[in-house]
Amino acid sequence: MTIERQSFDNIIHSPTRLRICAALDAGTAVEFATLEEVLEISTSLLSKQLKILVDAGYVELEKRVQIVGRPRVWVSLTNQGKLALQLHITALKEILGESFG
Amino acid sequence: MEPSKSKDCSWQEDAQNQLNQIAQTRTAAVKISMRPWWVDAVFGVIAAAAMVLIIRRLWIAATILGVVGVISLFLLYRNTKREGYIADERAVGVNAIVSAAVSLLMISAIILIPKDVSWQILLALGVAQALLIFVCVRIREHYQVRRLAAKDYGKYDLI
Repeated sequence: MTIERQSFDNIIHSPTRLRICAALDAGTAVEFATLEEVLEISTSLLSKQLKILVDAGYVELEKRVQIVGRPRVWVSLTNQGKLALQLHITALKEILGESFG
Repeated sequence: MEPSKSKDCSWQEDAQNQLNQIAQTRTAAVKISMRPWWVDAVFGVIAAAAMVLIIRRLWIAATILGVVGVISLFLLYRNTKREGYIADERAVGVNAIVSAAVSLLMISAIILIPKDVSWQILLALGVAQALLIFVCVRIREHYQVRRLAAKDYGKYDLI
């Protein structure tokens, strides 16, 4: 990934974080372990990337107690995160539009 | 090729790659987090068993199964990997059709089948009902998965 345009959000532009946001956009919230399974990355890498997204205000983490079993962490995109992802996708489509449009 | 055109081509290639990655990740997330088939099979079996008990007029057994079934299914359906379902007019329509089909299957069997029907017929009927209910519920789940993967819904239609 070598795109270097001013319009891109540097936080979402990273391939791993972009994939995290894409996976989270497929629902209102996704369980942490499922996110690991989808992205096929280690727990530590996912935690690190999520921290960056949380600090940017793009993602929220919520620990929920279950009736049976250990508490699970749920991850969701904030409105700001959804907007940032949408703007990023629009910017990508614009680049393709410039060549084919 | 001129340098600027070459850079444009590189951007376009990268942009296409990123868009492909977004689509692939979204599809993978939806498919991995799909409700397991066996949860719907349990639902089909419980519903069909309740129907058989009602046909036999075994009210207490039917009530116990109903209560245990509702609690079990509540716990199973809550144990999801992803939250968020499409709830626009089309999805609500599909839900209504599936619910009506399941209800119609059960109610018509309860009304039409006599109480003293042989157990062989009742067993065959129960298996057929369980299969039909399972198919109906799976159709609804696949419909949601297909539309979620394709992002075929409006901004406020995901709840």
